[in-house]
Amino acid sequence: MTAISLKDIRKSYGSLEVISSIDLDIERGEFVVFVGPSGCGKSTLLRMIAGLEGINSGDLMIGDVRANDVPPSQRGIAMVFQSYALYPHMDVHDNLAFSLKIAHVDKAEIDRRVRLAAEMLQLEPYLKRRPRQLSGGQRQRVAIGRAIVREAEVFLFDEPLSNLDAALRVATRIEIARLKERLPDTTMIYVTHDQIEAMTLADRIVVLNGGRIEQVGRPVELYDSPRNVFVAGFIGSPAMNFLPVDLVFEGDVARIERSGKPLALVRFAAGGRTGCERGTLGIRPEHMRIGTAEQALISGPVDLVEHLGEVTIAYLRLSDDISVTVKFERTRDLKKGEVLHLTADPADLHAFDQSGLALARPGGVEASA
Amino acid sequence: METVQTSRLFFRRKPVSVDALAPSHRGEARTAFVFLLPWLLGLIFLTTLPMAGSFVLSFSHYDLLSPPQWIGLENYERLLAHDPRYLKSLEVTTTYVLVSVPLSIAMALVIAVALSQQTPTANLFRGIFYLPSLLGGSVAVGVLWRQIFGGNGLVNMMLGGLGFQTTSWIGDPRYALWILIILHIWQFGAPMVIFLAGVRQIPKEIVDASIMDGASPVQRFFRITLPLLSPLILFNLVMQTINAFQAFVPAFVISDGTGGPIDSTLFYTLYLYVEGFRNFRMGYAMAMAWVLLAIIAVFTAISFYASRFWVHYES
Repeated sequence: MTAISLKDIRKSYGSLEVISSIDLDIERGEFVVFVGPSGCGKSTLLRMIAGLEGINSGDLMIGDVRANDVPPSQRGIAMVFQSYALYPHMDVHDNLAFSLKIAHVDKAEIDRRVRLAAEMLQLEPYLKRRPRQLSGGQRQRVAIGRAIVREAEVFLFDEPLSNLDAALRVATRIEIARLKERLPDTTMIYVTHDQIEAMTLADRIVVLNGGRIEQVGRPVELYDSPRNVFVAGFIGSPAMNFLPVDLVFEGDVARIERSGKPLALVRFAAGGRTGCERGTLGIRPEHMRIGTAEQALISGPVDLVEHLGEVTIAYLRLSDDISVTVKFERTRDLKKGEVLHLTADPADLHAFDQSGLALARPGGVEASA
Repeated sequence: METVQTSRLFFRRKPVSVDALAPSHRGEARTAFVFLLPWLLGLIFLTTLPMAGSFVLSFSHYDLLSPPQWIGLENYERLLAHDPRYLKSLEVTTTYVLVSVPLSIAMALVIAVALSQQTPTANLFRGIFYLPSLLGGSVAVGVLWRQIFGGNGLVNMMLGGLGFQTTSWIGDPRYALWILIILHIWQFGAPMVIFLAGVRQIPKEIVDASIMDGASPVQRFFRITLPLLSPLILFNLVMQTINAFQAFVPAFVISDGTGGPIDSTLFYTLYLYVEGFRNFRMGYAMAMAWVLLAIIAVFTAISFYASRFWVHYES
């Protein structure tokens, strides 16, 4: 059952269009994450769903109801803000109970719901404390608790972990994942620019860019089969390497040539196209391995090495002034200036045509490069 | 916390004479002293010594022409027990403070919230509403006010035109004080600017959260905006009260310096002026000044004590 449906949603500020024709269906109980670079419109879209921003055109359906003009508090939606947005003059109990008091809910019922949320989020010892007496993590839990007591069908999270330090961010992320397990019927929409949050929490990820949806899919789907150069570059850390190549279309299959040299055994579907055009070859840093000079897809000197313990990241500057990032497991003893010959499994290669769209694979990979 | 600790350390330190400092610091300290000297001289000769002198003279009979005569607590005794005009001035001033201060603060708050919205005309209206505060304390506005509310003033012209019976608002003891109260409320610009800054400091996400929680604009004002502005309300309350207790010019201009009609606008400071500079009872006037200082100090202390029950500080 669809919980929220966006149909041709648009938003402009004067002549500046910030959301352009968004179509998206979100199922009941689904955890959907909006990701994208700063200014891509993800928070604006979330605020439009919440009712805090108006919709210029299109339909926002919540259940079967067109909710474009429904006041925020009547949409059955609760929101968790980046800065927690707790009321500083109220204690934790009153922060949690505020919406219920406004709605004139019976006092006993308010107490029951507040206790339940406090128990769920381990906030019981802090109910009489003011927000300023809480740590960042505790404040964020109160902000989540405020959403829980409302028993809303949809939770919106607007970068809820951005203000937390790295360790607390991991802990709170796990708490949110547990919360989702405890509230399986609650639909959650989560905005972040952090890929790890998106990949670990989402049932589906919506990648936004310039107010448009670039791709919607399961996290692994986006990682393995990005629809275009933008998604390929945005999903994955460190980002995918891109190399300029020539694409030779031969009707059924497309071959790849780099600097006039064909890359043997690497084939993509040409979709009936013929001819030749400039394109892009994409290789994830973690998919590259050291090979021989004869096998090499890429050869170049090491410019910088980062030892992170679990992985080693090397930055290569290629002769044609293109930088390539390589990620090795564990520690590698690499020296600056050392020439590496890198290769990759053809199944892990991505090709994009001149317009940046990904080329499909021709029903499987032929052989190793 | 760090500042408190630093200041505690600072106050615990023994005073160090300039000679005990290293030569490089010695020159710096002397330069600082030279720069501070004008202010220090002003503080000593224009504030501290006159205040101390007035305190001593408040126990004397002093008419500016002959040497002061020590009369002990007689001035204070007369003030509190034998001077009905003094008690009347106290009553007029207290009424003025208790009515005009809360109303001007309420007015400032409501207008500030209304003008906090970013609209194309918001800045224009902010300027217009602030204008009376720039002019309000001046003699010119007192004269203007007299013309507006006098027997042949603008208000009566309008009321007469509408067929209502007219009266001299400033000549009638039932209304004269209320005209001064309206004048004070009209000067809400200064607290309004402070509230305006406060309203714009309230994080947008807190307002958004209250909207999501279902609070109506009125509920948001009383449950969110008002508590978050409470430190500024306290500040404005104290400052406005101190100013109102010391109000002088409006009553002086409107009543021609008499406090009339029938002492209905006899403000405390106006009576102090009459006693000191017309009746040349300087000792008595100084006693009045010290009692006023005590009244303001007590009020301020009560305000700060009571603030713990209604003022919410962020940290």
